[in-house]
Amino acid sequence: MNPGKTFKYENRLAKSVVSSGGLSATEALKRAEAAVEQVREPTLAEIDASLKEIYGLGDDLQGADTAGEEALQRMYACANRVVAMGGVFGLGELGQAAYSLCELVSRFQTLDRFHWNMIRVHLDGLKLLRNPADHPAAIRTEVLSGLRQLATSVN
Amino acid sequence: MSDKPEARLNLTKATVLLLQNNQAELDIMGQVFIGFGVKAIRKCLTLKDADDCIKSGIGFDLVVVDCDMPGGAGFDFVSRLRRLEDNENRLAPIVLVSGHTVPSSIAKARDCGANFVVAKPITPKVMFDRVMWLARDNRQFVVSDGYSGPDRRHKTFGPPAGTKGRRHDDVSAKLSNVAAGPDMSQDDIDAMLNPKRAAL
Repeated sequence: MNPGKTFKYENRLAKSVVSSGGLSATEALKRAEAAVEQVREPTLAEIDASLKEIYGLGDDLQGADTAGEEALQRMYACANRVVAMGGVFGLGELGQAAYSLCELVSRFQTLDRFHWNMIRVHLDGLKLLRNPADHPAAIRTEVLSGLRQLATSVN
Repeated sequence: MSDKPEARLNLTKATVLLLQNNQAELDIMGQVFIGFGVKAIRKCLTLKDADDCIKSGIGFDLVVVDCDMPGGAGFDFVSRLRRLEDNENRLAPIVLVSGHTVPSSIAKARDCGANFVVAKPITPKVMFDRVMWLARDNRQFVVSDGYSGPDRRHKTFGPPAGTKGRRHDDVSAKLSNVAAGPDMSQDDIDAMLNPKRAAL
């Protein structure tokens, strides 16, 4: 078996750290936040499209005792997109709810189980957290805590 | 208070490759790096496009890869890149970005040869911090039968506790239970890839 080798190499990014010129963290973040703001609308539209697909899949699964692998995988992929984008534009709690749905679906897939009501509760949570300003922070925190407990109870 | 001036990043001459699973995430990531002053950004939605970029002769200063590509394709892309012996991009700093994160994914990320894993959502603050980490990353490169990438050991384990020659910052081989639950936060990921919280 080859014992392997270890060697030093040039970190190409190292030269980007400078003491003058360039951007400080404050400057870089301000510019990046302004740049990201330019894609707010299409990103929110993508989040809503993903939610719509999740709700549609939920409708198809309503009351079912089992779920097809393809439906679960699509639901997982859509929820994972919401995880990725939610927190960028002030929908961090929506992203956390989507993360919990990913966790739930992942556990269903791993353990070959399915409980429609657990999915339903997550869909309700997503609908509530899509418009966080409509609900007090304490309620939102409780909802997220409940979703998390629900997802992790599948073991 | 320290008199040390705040570190600054000059990325105007950097070339960055972004490989993301969908257009919206790719656009967000692109905007983040535009804001950081990067002029040369190659945005890829498919593995083929990314492979073509890697083999085009362009030397990338940073590669950002989505973990959430179907079938673990992002991990495979990184593994393949790290094994391209005649390609300078083999040594490029690589950040993996991951949505829903399970421990097995983090192990894959560590073993495929990425420098860091960053949990989504990718905000400018998180990405700036990680780019700064990467720029200061001076780990050596390891090539073996089973692994090619930055040295996964951030600190030496050193001799066993209580043994002569053990240094105060040597890390125990026994790592603490970094994740309290099944969901892994950015802190959990960092702890797994950079075991500063190891039980001493």
